[in-house]
This record gives sequence, C-alpha cells and structure tokens, in this order.
Amino acid sequence: MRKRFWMLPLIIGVVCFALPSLANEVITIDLASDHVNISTGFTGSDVSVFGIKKGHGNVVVTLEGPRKDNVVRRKDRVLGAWVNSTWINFENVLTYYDYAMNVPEDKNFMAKAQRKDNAIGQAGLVYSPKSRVRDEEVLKSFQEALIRNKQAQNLYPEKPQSIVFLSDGFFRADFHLPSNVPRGEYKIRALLVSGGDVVSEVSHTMTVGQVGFSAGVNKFADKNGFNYGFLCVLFALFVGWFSNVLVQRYS
Amino acid sequence: MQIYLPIAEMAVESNSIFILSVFVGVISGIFGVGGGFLTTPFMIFMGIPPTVAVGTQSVQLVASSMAGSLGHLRRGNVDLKMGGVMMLGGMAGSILGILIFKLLKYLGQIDLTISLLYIVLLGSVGLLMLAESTMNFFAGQKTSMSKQFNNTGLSPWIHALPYKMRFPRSKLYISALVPGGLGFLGGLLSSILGIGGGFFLVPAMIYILGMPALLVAGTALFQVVFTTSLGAILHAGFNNNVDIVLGCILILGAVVGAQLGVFFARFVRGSYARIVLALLILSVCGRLCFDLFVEPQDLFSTVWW
Repeated sequence: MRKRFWMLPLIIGVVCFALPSLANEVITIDLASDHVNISTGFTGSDVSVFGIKKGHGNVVVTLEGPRKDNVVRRKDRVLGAWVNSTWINFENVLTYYDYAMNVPEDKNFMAKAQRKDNAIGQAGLVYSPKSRVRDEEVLKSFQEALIRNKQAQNLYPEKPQSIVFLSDGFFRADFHLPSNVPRGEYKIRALLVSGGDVVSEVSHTMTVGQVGFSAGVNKFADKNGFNYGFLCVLFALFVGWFSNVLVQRYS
Repeated sequence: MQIYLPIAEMAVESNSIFILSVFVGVISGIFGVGGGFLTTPFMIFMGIPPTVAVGTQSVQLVASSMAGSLGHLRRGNVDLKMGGVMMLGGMAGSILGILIFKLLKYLGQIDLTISLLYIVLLGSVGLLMLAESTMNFFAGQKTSMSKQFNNTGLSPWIHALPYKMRFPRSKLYISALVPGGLGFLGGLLSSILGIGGGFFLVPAMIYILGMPALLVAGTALFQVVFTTSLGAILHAGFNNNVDIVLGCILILGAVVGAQLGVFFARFVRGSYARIVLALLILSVCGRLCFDLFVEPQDLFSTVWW
C-alpha cells in the first residue's frame, strides 16, 4: 500500500506537466509497477493503474494479456463416455482480459458496435476461427464456450472492476491477477468515452514473467528440454542412491 | 503452503501433494508395489494437468526404483543379463510410448486415453486383488493364486520363438524376444501412464518367463530404472511436461513414506490390508469412471495452441 502513495506526486507531476498542451478531452495513465514477477511463492498479484482525465466522459481501463491461438473442443457421447469430438481453432485469443469502468456495467453509455471495435467488456470480444465455419449456430456456441471457459479459469473476470476517483479528474483502477496468470507482454488501455464515442485513448505495456529459480527452470526446460530432463533424472538417481545409503546405515 | 510450479505454470497446495506422496509411499512400503498407479490419478483429481502428472511421476519413479534396485543388487537378487534384455525392449517401448503420447496430445485425446487405460488397469488389478484376498480371508489358508499357477509350464509357442539366449542366473534358455517384449510393453505403459509397470511385469516374469521368484522383483526394478530414466528425458524433451518442483515434493514424500511403510508393515495383517488396498484401488477407478461417464458441467474445453 505504501508503495503506491509515494508514486502519487510523481504521477501527478508528470501528468499535469503534459496536459496543458493537449486537446479538450484527454486521458493519461501510469502504472505503479510495469512488472509482475512470478516467483516460487507466487499466489497472484495486484495491479494498480493511476490516471488523469480532462473534460467530460466516462473512463474505461482494459487489461489485456498477449494473444494466442486457442482450440475449443466439444465433448460428445461415445459408448456412454464423454469424448472430445468437434473442435474449432480460434485466432489471436486474449490470454487474459479484465476491464474497469467508472459506471455500472449495465449502463449503456456506448453503442454495441463501438464496444466491439474497442474490445470493451466481454461482449466486445469476438474471436474468429482460423478456417471458415459454415454453421453460424455452431460457431456461436463455440465462441460462447470459449468466453465461458476463460471465465471458469479465472482468466476473464466476469464483473468489471470499479474505478475510484481520488479527486476531480484523478482516478485509480485496481486489478487482481490470479496465480495461473499467463506470462507475456500485457497491454493496458485507458479510454475516455463521451457521447458514445471514444474521444481519447492511451495505452501502456506491462510484463508478466517468472523470475529467479522459477524462470530459470521454465526457460531451461523450454529451450533445452532434453538436457533439462537429463539433469532431472540425474538428480532423481542421486536421491535414490542417497536414500538407499541412509537406509543401509541406520537400519 | 502455496507453491508455484514453473512448468505447470500454476500454484498448488504443496502440503496436500506432500501428504499424498507420503501416503502412497507408505502403501508402497507395506505392499512392495511402486505406487505410481495411485499417485498419478490423485494428482489429476487435485487439478494438475494429466500430462504434467504423468511426466513428473516418471522422475519420481527413477528415484524410488533406483533406491529399491540398489538394495536388491546388494543382496544379489538381480539377473543382470535378463534385466539388460528387458531394458532394451523397455527403451524401445518408451520411445514409441512418448510418440503416441505426443500424437494423442495433438489430437486432444490424451486425457481420455490416460483415464481409460487407468480404469482398465485399476479395475482389473483391484478386482483380482479383492477376489484373491477375500478368498484367502474366508478360507483362512495361506495359499495364494500365485502358488496354484506356479506349475503352469511355458506355452509351446514361446519355445518356438527364434533368437534363443542363455540366462545362467535364472537358469533359463529362452528366446530374447520374450523378455524383450515384456520390457517393451512395460516401457510403453510406463511412458503413457507414469507407472513403473511392476504390477504386470512381476507376474508376467513368473508365469511367462518362468523366472525364479527370488530374482523377479529385483530384475524388474533394475530395468525400470533405465526405462523410466529414458522416459523422463523424452517427456521433458518432446512434451515439456516434467515439473521438477512438483517432482521434488513427490520424491521427498515417497522416500519418507516408504520408510514409514516398511516400519508399519510389521504391524499390519496381510490379507486384511490387501482387501483395504483393493477397495482403495477400486474407488480410484470408480472416481475415474464417474468423471468419464457422467455428463460434464461444460461440454466444451479449451487449450492454447
């Protein structure tokens, strides 16, 4: 908590200095930290975004993980057992998605089409399959299942986070990343929405990555799988030998 | 205590994993079984991806089979030549098993295959054990099935196989294809299921090879060391599913548990305990069946590509 507050004057200073030269409706943000470090004791992390808006409008902040292809499979009954059968590969799926707004979710402050263009809210996330799917109904059920599964995995929090205004134009948005948060470059966007249109937009990047021992193991196993496996086996052989020696000596 | 697994990329409750591995270690100490066939399903129930459970379990098997086979070697209960031939077959089986594993993972059927094979394996072993131990329990006699079957001679077609070899330690003159084939099957199952394969190698070596009972356990364990070592290296290289942090917890738990098990074994009544183990195996099998045959909450699942 204390860490956040010493950042405040700095952020206010930077933001105020930059503001006067710009247009009427402007939004600016900064992060308390642009790194989320995953170490052996990692159980999740908070991300705080500070920002200033000038002029009228509602504020939306989105937090987007790196994009990856994602296969969705449907189970069908085969001889009584539920078995994966049909599948669709979706392109450029966000590995993580969360967003914050300063108004309640149900308040319709912008058109649906606008939401889609700007990827605001889960209704704004529409993924397309890699190869064409003929049946619209089927495609829709797979798209819904994709979002539903990501929600169940805590990767797409269902309810938007709220935005707190600390003073007139100065706000803070708090996000919480779960322990299974995907690694990579995250994009944080702040949008100022006025009269149903996005009037100002700004974005920042944040890195989520393993550090220390965890990172070393992951990187080594990824780059040099066979050597990594060989070391694991050597270690296991050693422990096996050592426990045998101990048992011999003390029994 | 929550601990982050660098390969599985998730946090798990390390205490419960440790308790699980101690528990399985105790069982393996009491009954002299490997216990891999219990650890892997339990890890799957705890939410660890089946692929990571299998790959990591193979590292734990390296450690426990190493400890076990050193003891047997010291007592001279290992037929090195027989073990060597089985090992060659086992390594070939491991390589094929890993390739099948990779293919099934690509097709999205690996989780199903692991579940199905475990259901068949645990179901048959559990039922056989239950039948045998309840019969013993009520008859009150010490003769087990193994005694009754021991007179069975080798089938003629086994004698007709080529590449005959002499195994002086076991006093056998038999085609190398038979122990090699057994090792091959063991390696195949080991790499797909994360088990040592002792449960089927031991009876097969007694009934099919006709090896002296004294040498069977040591020889099986000896070749399991090499088969699982290769399996673990290949899993890490091809499937990237060996999590050493998880592996360390499993190894530590197994080492502690096995010693406790050997200690407890003195106070446990054999036939009674075997009924309990059989019921435990059958209930794990039942849970796997339930997950497979009852309609899942969500018919859809996702995986990063």
